[in-house]
Amino acid sequence: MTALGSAVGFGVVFLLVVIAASALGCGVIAVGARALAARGPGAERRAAALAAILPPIAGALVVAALALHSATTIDHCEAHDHHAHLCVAHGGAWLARPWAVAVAAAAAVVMIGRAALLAVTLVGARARVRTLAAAAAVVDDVRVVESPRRFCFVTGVRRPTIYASTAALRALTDDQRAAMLAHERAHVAAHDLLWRRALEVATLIAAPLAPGFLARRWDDATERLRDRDAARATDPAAVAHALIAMCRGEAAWAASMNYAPPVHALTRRVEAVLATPEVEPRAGRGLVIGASALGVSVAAALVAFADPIHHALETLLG
Amino acid sequence: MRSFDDAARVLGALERRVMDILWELHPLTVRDVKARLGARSAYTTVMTTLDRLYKKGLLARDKDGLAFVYRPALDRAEYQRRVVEAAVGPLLEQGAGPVLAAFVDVAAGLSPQHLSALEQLIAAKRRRP
Repeated sequence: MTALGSAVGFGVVFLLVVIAASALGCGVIAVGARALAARGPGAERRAAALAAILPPIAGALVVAALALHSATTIDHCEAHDHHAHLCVAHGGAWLARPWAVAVAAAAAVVMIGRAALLAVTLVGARARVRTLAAAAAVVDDVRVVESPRRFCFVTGVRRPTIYASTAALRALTDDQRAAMLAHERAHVAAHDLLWRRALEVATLIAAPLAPGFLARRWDDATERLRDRDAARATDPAAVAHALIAMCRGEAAWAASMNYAPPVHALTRRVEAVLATPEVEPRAGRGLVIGASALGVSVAAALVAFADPIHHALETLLG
Repeated sequence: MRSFDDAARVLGALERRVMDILWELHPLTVRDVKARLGARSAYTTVMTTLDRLYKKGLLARDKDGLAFVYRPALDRAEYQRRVVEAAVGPLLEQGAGPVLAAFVDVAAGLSPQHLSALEQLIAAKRRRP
């Protein structure tokens, strides 16, 4: 029971740190959206990735510091008995606090639910992709699928593969087709789906609405980044025309679904690809350096102020 | 195109074999299909499989005396088209995400007027490099 109680206590702390850090990260991205956009899609993508990955790391750091402190401070738990202890040896009292048990259980349910939803999505998609693969003709590194719908995408984490429909390939000129495939090849080269999957896993526990918010930001920025890669490999106008040609085909399907699309998304991509710089700025490096510095500072503060932080959290939560 | 054998994974193995037999030659009775499947398939299993394919809309059947005779309700090409559409629709509607990265999102489908405005934007950019 002590071990379970300790897990509940540390779980509550982990959850609070992750949710607070995640909400803070999303807030910073929302407020600084204009500044990030000015630095290019690379910076936007990196900011979204950091806001997804840093909160669980911060949560784990805080919990590790608390656990280490409780393990190395011999008489820590004898010093006070007016609250539950964040302690690996005397954490049983957390089980007597219904709110703490409820919070930890709810977090576990949410995390397992999100993981299950992700697993169901992946399993369903894998079966559909297998069907497409079986019906496709292999032309170089592209699997061509006979279909009246215009589509071109890359799928697969371990072996990313490009799929394109005959309708899409017929609808585009040679230049546009090369641009579209260059875009997809850039996804493959950058292992985007692997990183996207990591982002999904990192946000299994996050502030409400944060997973969707960060995933959208990351997806949008990644697409613009790959448009620019394709523009450098081919021609910016060809990429822009290919985007429009593909949307012309899919507009009818969207209309048949009675769906009102966001007008700005394609406009933003076309504008971004037309403004492709010759070399992608190393935008976002500052973000990583800043985040690393922040991480080191937090870790140092945790070590330096382990005792008061530990007692403050116990008094606040326990 | 690769063999249709591989494409029809939405069907079970026996269902696929039965469809292949009927696409090659039809109409056939349960006994005819069983004879072509070989000794390992029981008569009732073949009958159940044919009935299931009929209920799925893949086979049509007519009464011939006391027995049913079965024939495909759609040809291989049409079936394959439907299999691909059934697979690709949900994939594309998922849009970008952990599963795939699409060149354009189905949600990006815009009005023809808006797409024309974007074409003009590209043309203007070309005039002013």
